[in-house]
Amino acid sequence: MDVPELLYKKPEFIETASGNKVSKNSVMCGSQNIILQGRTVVLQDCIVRGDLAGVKIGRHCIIGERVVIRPPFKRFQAGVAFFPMHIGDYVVIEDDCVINASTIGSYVHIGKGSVIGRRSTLKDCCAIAPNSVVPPETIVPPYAYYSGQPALYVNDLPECTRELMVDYAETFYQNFKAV
Amino acid sequence: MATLIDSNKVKYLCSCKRLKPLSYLYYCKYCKPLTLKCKDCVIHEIDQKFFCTNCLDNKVQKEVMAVKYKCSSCFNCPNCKNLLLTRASSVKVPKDSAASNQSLEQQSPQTPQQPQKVYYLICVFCRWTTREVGIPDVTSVPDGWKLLENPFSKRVQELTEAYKVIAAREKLEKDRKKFPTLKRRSLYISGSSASSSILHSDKYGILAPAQKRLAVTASIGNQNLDPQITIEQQFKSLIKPAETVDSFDELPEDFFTKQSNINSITSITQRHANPDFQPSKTSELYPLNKFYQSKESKRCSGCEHNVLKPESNIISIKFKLHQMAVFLVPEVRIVTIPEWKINEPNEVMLSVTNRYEGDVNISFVNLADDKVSNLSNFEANARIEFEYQDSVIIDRQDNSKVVPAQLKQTDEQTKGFVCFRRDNKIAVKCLVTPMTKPTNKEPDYVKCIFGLKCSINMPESSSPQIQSSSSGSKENFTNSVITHHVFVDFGPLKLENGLKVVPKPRYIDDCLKTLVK
Repeated sequence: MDVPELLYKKPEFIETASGNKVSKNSVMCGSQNIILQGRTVVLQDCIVRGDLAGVKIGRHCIIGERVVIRPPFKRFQAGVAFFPMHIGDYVVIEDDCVINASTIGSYVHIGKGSVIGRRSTLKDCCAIAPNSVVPPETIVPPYAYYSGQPALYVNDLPECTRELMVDYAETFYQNFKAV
Repeated sequence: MATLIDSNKVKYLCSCKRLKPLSYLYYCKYCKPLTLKCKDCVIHEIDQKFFCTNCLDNKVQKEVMAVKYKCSSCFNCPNCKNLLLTRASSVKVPKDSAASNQSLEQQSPQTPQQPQKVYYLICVFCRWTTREVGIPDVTSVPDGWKLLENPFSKRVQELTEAYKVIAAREKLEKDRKKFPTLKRRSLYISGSSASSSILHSDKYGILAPAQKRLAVTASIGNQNLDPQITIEQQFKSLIKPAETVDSFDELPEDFFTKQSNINSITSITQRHANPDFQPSKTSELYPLNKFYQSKESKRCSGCEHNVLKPESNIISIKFKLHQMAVFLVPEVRIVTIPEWKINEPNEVMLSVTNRYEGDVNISFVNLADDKVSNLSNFEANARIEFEYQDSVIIDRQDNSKVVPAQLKQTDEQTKGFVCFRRDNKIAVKCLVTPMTKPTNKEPDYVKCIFGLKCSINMPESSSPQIQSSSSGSKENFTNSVITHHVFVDFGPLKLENGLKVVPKPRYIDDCLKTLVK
């Protein structure tokens, strides 16, 4: 199936100068710590916890509905410290995900309803199946498809994943239109 | 995106007659005619560089063979196969190291104690720890947890060595057949004594590696060159044959009476995860070392030219050679799915994307139910018709922001067949007629086949030259025409269980409105 068309009501979204489209129904805590590089779409009911630590999201990303993005923490003897989170370009996060990763590379696809554990690292060009649980501190290598609870390697992704993700993210942005 | 879009809906015919999504296919530009290759019909070649996917530590093949391809610092949980994390805790040990032989209980409370860091492994998913099964904590990481020695490793070693001798003998016998006369044979396998042999007259040392290998072969083979002894006899002389086990320990008396604890017994997957030991009780579980992996390059099975070659950097996603079929063959995707009417033409929209570096001329070919469908086990039950049979131009990928006036082909020319055009993508209309089966039963699925005739300008050196046209714009480019077989599965005929009609997207409607104006 081709990339579907998604229509939105203009007053419900904020469009920034760099082309980001952020739903007014999403919660951006500590917005001074959140960087969206441009042409990123954040759909309704998302929560991005920029108040805990910095969150940097690259270009052409798609953040689905009801996604929670929360910088990872680590417990030390003195207390708890939060670490900044980096998300690369052309990352597609589908609905109902909880993201606690420390780094997400570029061209990554996270399936619907997945949980990405604390301080885990998703390298470039990898994919997580829907309803998977990636345990804390896991490293997902490039071109790997992880699935299950706990998420384990199940398959390889095609070597043209990068081009396909770029195509999807760009077409999604073009097809995301105001009514 | 192979995971994002249902890529299994549209498949292409590979040269091995299997159906694969386009994103999983490669092409070989040297094979004539140009062929598509899938994962199953290319030669896989393992890179010499190995790495651990967790710690990204890389090693060459010799080093990883020494450690049996197991990373010494990264472990998987034997319970749930998830990654194990190292946790530190401190224990108090007596300051006087000489007194460490005595156990802690025997120490008087006055003995000064100092904290020492110890490490154990924990699975953060299932909470399994090395402490749970009584594996002692270690004082240093990595290399703290030693590899367990297999109880049968000695026997395995013996067998491997015996087979090496047999292999050497077999190779020698093969060589003998190759050089039947004694004189010629002596040139090659005479070993140390023949000073006049070809190998020994090697003035510049070019043949040194071959010489060395032959000398080894000869020395092993010479030990048992008696032709009277068969290979089987020789093998028996080298190794003690395996013994049949005919008596087992009896089951304990309380085996049937005692309540069994299912939690203390491992599952089949847990046993198979550790094939060396196959623990049957949970108390015997031991951390599993992560295995080293390597990148893979792929070769065409026909001409042995590389079709895919990754960069040597282990975390790089780039390729030195990247001949994926999506960069050459236009990709077909389904845009709309109507509410199917049986035995009636239903209007469906397909999109075609061109990722080739030049413009592509495509035309749709109606394929009659010929041998193609029989070859691939694809039961097509619908007829697909295209109103416009002439060629349609799709612009190249980087030709972004095309203004309609500059298009190489106007919509009037294509008679409204192309209902949408953006950058390197077009959408076309077609009519799909689901047919009833010969048994007058309604089909469950709507499936059809058509041919996609592509005409592209390829560089001369790699041109498949199926059909060459003299009208090529440049001399070193040839126009090649290839017809790909496309298999489309529109899904179930009856849209139930949450399956919905996919309507025509608004952007296509807008496009059509401007056409009418």
